Parts: sequence; structure tokens; C-alpha cells
Amino acid sequence: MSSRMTLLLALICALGAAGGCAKKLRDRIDDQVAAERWIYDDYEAALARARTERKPLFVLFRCVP
Amino acid sequence: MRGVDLDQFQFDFDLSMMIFFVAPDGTVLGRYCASGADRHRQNTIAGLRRAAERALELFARLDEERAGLAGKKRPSPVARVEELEHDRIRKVETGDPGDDQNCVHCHNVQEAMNALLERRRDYHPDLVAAKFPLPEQVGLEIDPDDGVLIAGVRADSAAARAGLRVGDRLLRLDGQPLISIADVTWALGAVPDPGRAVLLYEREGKERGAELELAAGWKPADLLWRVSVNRMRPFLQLWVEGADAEERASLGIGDQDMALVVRGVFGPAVRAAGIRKDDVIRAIDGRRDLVDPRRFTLFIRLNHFQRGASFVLEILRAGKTLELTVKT
Repeated sequence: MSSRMTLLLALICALGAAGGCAKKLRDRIDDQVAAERWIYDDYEAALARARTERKPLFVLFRCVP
Repeated sequence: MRGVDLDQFQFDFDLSMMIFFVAPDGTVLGRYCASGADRHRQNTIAGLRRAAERALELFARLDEERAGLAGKKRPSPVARVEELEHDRIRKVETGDPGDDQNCVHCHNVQEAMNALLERRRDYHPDLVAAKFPLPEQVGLEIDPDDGVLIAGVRADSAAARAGLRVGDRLLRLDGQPLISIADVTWALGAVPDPGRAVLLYEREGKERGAELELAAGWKPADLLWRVSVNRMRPFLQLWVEGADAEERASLGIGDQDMALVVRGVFGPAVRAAGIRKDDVIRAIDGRRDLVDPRRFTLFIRLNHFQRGASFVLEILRAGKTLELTVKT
């Protein structure tokens, strides 16, 4: 699969608070495997990287338990 | 959900998960995660994989697909979550110290969206129920591991009349390319009631067209599975639960009979009506079949949403039966 045909991963959730949100989110959902591949709670950063890398985004909204 | 651009990311906010495939210029390629009571069975890894593959195919020919993809966004009534009126959103926005979650849930957004509709003079719960119509409402069952492959066509449905068959693969609805069941629901949401939708599908390797003729009333979906129903009008703040086995035995009420035990009375309308904790509701407006407390709540939302409406409860209290009228 070529680089154009992969997806960047962005995760947005209910924890939309400013300041330390991404860490709080990562801690709460406790991703063990895919954590390094996700851009957490920062859609604008994900979009900017998507433009740079010319890849579409996989944007996941999920409820944090 | 704080800070989310609702013009970009509109979805069925009663879901606890939703996936968007988005091109770097913001074009929505598709959605994944089905709505409805059967949504957990319809969300599968295989179906997600097929949706992702189709999204990548669309991305590879983005320029030629732009017109069809334009329908995958619709203007939101408000542009951003923080513009919505909701006590949870207000708490988060103001940094309420008593709010340890600091969290706007997706269903909070749905509740606030419902409240927007409820402020309309011509409010009807069907406005809420018609936002995300399911494929089954036009007579289609879709294979969840594929997302667009027809697995069943209900006899005498709009899909059957349009000539669709098991094994057909849906490609477009009113020009929108489809990658998943969620996409079908989104595209159906733009079709009027009554209305007509143009389908492009594939059968035996050939593309074919069909028209779904949708009769008046086709669009409202069952609201029962939705968390946001609990905050729809009238918001009575009456907490009821189905009587447990021990309570039924002591009251002499059968397993299948309506017996909703009042656990809490918080709202002014239900207090004014004289409802008390531990009352047992045996009927509402003469209906004795609403055994499920969620169905009881939904019955009130669907039938007594107008301001000043009233309904009658048959109550069992200390061995006596009485009728109480609730004015909303």
C-alpha cells in the first residue's frame, strides 16, 4: 500500500478541556498498542499533518469511560 | 466534544463512537458507526475495514468526486459545541469546580440539538426522530461486514418497489458515494418526507439506477435506544423503574403486567400532581402495556410534548388505586 493510500489517525473525545487534555485523554483511555500512532484531541494539528503528508484522516470520536 | 466544529463533524450524537474519513482539505469522504437499537451488531471490524478501503478509493479520485461528496456535510444549526445551550456545556465552559469530569459527552450535544428543535413553535418529536433514518425504514437490511451489500429486502417496502434485491451493492444515494451503513443513514437524512431518492447500485458487475418512492411518514425512527430521550420535552424529572420480582410478589402483580415503581419525584409538574416515592404506576392514559420504563418515558415524550398537555396515571399506593393527573 502506497503512502498516499494510508490513513492518519486522530482521536477526539469528550475530554475537550484545555491544558493537559491530550495526556489526560491518553491516560483515561489507556491505549496500550496504538498510542504512538494517534494524534490525540488536536484536529487542527492532525489536519496540518495530513496536508503535509497528503494523506486522509481517520478521525475517531469516542466516549471516554 | 468541546470546541468541535459542528459544520465539519455532524453525526448522530447519541452514539458513543463515530469515525470520519476526512481528506486533508476537510472534505468528508465518509462515516462509520451505525445508528439504531441494533447498532452494536452492525459495527464490525470487517465493515470498518471495507469502509476505510472505500474511503481511500474515494480519496484517490477526490477531484472527480467532489460534487457527490459535498452532500456529506450539512450546515449545523450552530457552528460550535460551546454555542449550544446545555447545563453540562455551561459547566465545562465556566470551569465549574464541582465538575470533575470536565467533559461534554456526545449525547449532551444531541440533547442541546433537540432543545433547539423544541424551541420551535411547530415542535414535534418527529423532528428529532427524523434526523437519522435507518436503512430498514426503506426496507433494506445491509450486510454489516460489507456496509453497502444488500442482505435483505422487506416485501412491500420502498426498496422492494424500486426493484432492489439481495446481493445488490449500493453505490450512491442522491449522488453521494456510500462507504458504510452510517453513510446510507446520513444520505437518507437529507431526503424529504414524503420524498424520493435516486439510487445507483451494482448488480452482477453492472451499474443500475433506481428510485425510492418514500411515502409520508417514512422518516421518523424509533427513539427508544437514545440516551437523549431522557432530556426531551416534557422534562418531568420523574424517576421510575420496573418493579423487581420481590415487589411484584408482594403486590400480587404478574411478571408481564405494567408496574413502574416511582423511585424519585423531582420536577414541579410531577410534584404538583401528587406523585410520591414508592407509588406504583399501573397505567398511563389507560395504556397498560408500557412495561419497560423507557417505553413509558418515550410515550410521554411522543404524546404529551405540547406545553400545557396533561396525562392521567393510575397509581397503586398502600393497597389503594387512585388516578393522578399530570399537567406538563
